[in-house]
Amino acid sequence: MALPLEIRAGSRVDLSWRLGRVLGIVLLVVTTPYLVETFRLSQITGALILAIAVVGLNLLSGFAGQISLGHAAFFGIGAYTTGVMTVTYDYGVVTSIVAGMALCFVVGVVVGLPALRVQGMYLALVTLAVGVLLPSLIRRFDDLTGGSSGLFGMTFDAPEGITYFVGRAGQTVWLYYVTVVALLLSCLVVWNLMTGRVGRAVITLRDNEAAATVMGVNRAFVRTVVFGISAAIAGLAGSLFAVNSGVLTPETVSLLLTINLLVAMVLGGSGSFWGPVFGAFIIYFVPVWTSDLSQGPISGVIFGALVIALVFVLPGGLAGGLTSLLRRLVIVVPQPPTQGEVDQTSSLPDDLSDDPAGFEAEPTTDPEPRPAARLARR
Amino acid sequence: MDLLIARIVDGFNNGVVYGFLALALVCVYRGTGHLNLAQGEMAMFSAFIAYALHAVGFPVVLAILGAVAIGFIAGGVVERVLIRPLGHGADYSILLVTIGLFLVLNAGAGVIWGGDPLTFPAAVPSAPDDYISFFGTRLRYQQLLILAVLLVVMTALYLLFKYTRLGLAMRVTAGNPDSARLLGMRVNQINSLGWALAAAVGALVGGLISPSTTLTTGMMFNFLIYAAAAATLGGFDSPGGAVLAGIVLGVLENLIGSYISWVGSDLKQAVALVILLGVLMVRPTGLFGTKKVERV
Repeated sequence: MALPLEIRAGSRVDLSWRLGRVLGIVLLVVTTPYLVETFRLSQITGALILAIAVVGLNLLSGFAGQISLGHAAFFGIGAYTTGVMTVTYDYGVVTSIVAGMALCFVVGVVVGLPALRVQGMYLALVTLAVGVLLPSLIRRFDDLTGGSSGLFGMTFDAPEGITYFVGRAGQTVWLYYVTVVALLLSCLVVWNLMTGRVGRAVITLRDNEAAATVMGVNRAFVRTVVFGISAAIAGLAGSLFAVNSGVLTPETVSLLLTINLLVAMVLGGSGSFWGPVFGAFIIYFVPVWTSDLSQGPISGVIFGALVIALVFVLPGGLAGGLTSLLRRLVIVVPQPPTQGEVDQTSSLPDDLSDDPAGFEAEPTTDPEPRPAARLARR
Repeated sequence: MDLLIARIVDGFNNGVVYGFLALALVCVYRGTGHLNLAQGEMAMFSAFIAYALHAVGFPVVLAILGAVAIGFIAGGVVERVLIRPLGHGADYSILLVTIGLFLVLNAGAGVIWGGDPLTFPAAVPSAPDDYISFFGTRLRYQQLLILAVLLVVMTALYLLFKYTRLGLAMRVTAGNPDSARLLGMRVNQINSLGWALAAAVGALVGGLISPSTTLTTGMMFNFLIYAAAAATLGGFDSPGGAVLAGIVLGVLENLIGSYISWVGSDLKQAVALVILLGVLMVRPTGLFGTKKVERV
């Protein structure tokens, strides 16, 4: 049997393949709490929280092409908003999450304003400045934030009356599901944004700003709002981090977090929809494993070398690598038009517009980008 | 008045280091048009190499020069092996590789030399009374040496970029690698040279400041942030601008930090970064950078 196998779009095999993927993911998500131990589940929740932040960063840096070295700041604003509101002022967790996201959106838009004027490396520096500012602000206003000694006691209790979530193990499961839902919502927001009119505007702005502006894309509006939404998603991740870990220190939102988020995004596959989730899991669990292998600074060396190696081995990230691997095995070909359809203006199968594999055909880490994109990125 | 001068001199001395490391960033930018996040760690690692050379018996000055030479070669090798294969437009990949390099060097120095701070001797006499009195402020010999070396390096780089064929080639290469290649320039070698120069400058900084900071794996991290701010303020393609911006940052930061009690020492760094944000809002290419005009 010759590879790749060809599958007709819309055929029974294609539909069951797609349905199978969705069912597989649902099955995995639902069974995970029963398959792993409590501490492992709480680690998985941690990785999922990281994934939310990476999804946010990916919207800005992957899809919109604006490098951010300050996303830890938005994560931190979300985390500390939840921390301060719930511990010091006794608000509900949900209220504080909404407030944190709103605050992140506003700050994101404000940071996005200079991003209209500066580009490339200068933008990276502006965001770096924001990212470095936040920890020192947290230390300075220590009567509010607890400063270097940290902020403690954030929890998110399951609604009363649901016996399923009782106890420590139940609490872990509850947070796991909350995080899964939050991740799904974030992905849905990014998906809806990027597969429509806004998404095309964002991609065009990334690849050729001049062309996009000439075509009537409102550059200022799109750039700042995308920045704001990306920041709000990172803030959501921060809020969940606060209630999941229960401890916040300035170090948790330092530059190291930004680096982890960036590495996760690129390893997973920047500008892809499901890459960030992969990348976040790698970033979360690889240090756990390398420190299992060996203690101390040598695990840092392994981690760094791994980052460099993966850039060379998988330039499109895991998402890009898996997609091209899959394409060698199975390809989905469009249904040939039947006799009656030929005359209609739209004979394109629906599949082209909503297939993620088709959408990410051009990864941002393309070693030889088109000349136009080259100019635009400088 | 004496206190004011002391504070200005303090800030100035910090600023000299910011500007020095910023020079290294400028060299890389001249070469490949990128920000090397691992620049500080490369400098730190070079300082440890100088320490190792000194430990096997080289005099301090030779140890530092040896580290500079090793840094020069290593910088070129890093460009050749890790940066060039990624191609010119791969901004993210290069950023990631520098992050990876950052992690490897930082953790690697810890593996080799341990986590405890080491002391590195100064290149000039630095007993407690080895200083020049300046309006009641002590200017230590080592600080004067750093300033002198900085001025020499800055002038050399300025002359190199501005008046030599090589410098012209570097400017063209950073600005438009495709055209440079078409004009017959050896773009790859020029890029390597940029990285090599940067690493050498970094090694010099590392060897010169480690007597006062002590040798630790984290010694360069804060400096890198300031240096990046200084390079941005000065405009990434101007060595003089980067040094001047570094010094201005150092002095302003110290003055604001010590005279405005609300700022204090916690927010000193924040002051530098707010200055950076403010300048970039008004002049997106920094104070002395050349505006890039793009044909659509």
